[in-house]
Amino acid sequence: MIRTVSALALAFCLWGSALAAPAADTVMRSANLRPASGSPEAGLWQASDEAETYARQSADLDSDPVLGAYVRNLICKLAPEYCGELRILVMTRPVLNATAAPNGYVEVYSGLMLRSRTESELAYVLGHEISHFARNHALAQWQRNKTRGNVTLAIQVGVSVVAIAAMASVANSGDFYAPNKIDYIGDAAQTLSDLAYIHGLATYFAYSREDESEADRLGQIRAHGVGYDPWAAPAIWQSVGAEVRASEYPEVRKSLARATIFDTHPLTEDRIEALKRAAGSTPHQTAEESRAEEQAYRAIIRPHLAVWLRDDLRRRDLGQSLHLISRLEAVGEDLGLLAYYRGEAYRQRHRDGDLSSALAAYRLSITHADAPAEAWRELGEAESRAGNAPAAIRALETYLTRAPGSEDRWLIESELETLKASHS
Amino acid sequence: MRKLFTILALSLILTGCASSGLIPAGKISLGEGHGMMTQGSWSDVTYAERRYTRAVQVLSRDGPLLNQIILVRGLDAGKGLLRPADRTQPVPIFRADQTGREQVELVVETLSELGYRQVRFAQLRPASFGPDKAIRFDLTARTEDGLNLSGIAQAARVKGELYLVIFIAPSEHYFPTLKAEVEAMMNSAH
Repeated sequence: MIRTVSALALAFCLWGSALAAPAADTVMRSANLRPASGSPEAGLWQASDEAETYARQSADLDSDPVLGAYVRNLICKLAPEYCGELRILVMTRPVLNATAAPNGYVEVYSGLMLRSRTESELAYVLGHEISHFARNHALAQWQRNKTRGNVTLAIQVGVSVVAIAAMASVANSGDFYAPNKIDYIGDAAQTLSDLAYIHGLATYFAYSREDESEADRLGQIRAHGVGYDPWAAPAIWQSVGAEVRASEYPEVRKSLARATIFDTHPLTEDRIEALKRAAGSTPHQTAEESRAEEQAYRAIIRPHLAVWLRDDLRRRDLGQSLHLISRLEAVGEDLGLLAYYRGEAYRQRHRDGDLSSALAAYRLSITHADAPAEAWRELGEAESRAGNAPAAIRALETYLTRAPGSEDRWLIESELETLKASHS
Repeated sequence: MRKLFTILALSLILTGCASSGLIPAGKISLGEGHGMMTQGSWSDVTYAERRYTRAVQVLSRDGPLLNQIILVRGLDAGKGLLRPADRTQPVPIFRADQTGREQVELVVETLSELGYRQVRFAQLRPASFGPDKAIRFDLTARTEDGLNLSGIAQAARVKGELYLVIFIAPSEHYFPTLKAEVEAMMNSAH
């Protein structure tokens, strides 16, 4: 009975909201679509095949079968009609991104999974990418950009001609280092040619604003259609916007877009507003529902949290990293690990006041059961810097107890000897 | 197109600054008053990576993709091994108050910045740089397209400047072939 009432309530909500099914004239691609060999479109599929081969060899490819199966199941839930042809690769890259190539290979970046607060948020973004795939946006864009491709080729030829002339000039100069200089010019020309190619490639994948809006709308419908919260769609873009505004760098803050060459997802207020309008009268999750979904999703990504956070710090936009950590802390779990990485962000930023902020974060981290052993090591180093030798000694000794086989054991033991000698 | 010509012209001018050439076996400078002995000849391939700062010299026996030794010859505090691409992409830098572990971290982060993946250190152990203390450690990494790499590195801070010797090569054949020779070079560093 409860189930019936829930179903009726859901039906009522769907009826009352703006999240109607796609219009009847919205044609989706057929399953297992592959253009005939030799057709102009076949080139796009071939390029996608090559990109897939490269991605499968990449060191960034995540090898965790559990995580891979989770993402695959989620995509199949969102797009059962394409489940058999979509091949999912999870890539360990600290950027919010996912792509679905025309040949059916899908890349999901760890940076997206780290930034998704719930499965609903992840489902919306994946639904967005599946909608690009289902509507053949890449093919349409490729056809629009044929002219631009010709311009790219012209630039590449021009660079080669200039480089050959420069090499000939150096070769005839009699310079002892001429062979090296010729290599250098060739290298520079190759770089310029590559840049022209990369720009051309980026253009291929840069969907039009109309395509993005359509993918937003269809992705939200697709995710909501299988039970996900439609308010997750504007929510993830709002939190990405907040992260960008927290950047250390004015240029990034001004852009309000992720700093990638492909930059295909400009975050505009009108896109967020459109997603909110589409969610319409669908009720928001209750606090309990929201918390349960956050905790369930955290349990999925928990085994990868430390590696993904370490990768995020490597972007060296520590304002953004600190904002992201705060967002993860709001779930109320993994607080020892998150406090440790908060301390790491302050330590690496190294601005005035950051040492005491790092110290506070490490001290907080070790009060939680999930604190990594490294939290004691960094606490010891920070206490030592702050002139608290006894506290530093205690923390470093605890680190060695908790991580008896650590690779840096000799160095920490050596530091302990120095600290004890200076303190006695 | 004018921009392209400007860049190419600039590249030609910069070519004059690029160090290059054969380095015969014998003593090689590691900065003012510092050096180490090489057993065989090496090529200077510093020009292969334009982001390196002045303190860096890169040697290779068979080409930088097959083996390379990155020498850092007295890096001043506040400087890095690499130049930042732009203001929003800072690079790892050496700080005067860095601990030994942070010097190791600087090596790991710089290699990551160069595009190596999954860079890990192991077996930190004591070494010497002439009369001064140094840290030696092993490295593992992968290239972007998945080739396994191995390495050894040594870090020493002398009078506020950082001296590094970083050897990295494919784990198969190239690393084991040169490992002993490079360790002998590191042992001779002073």
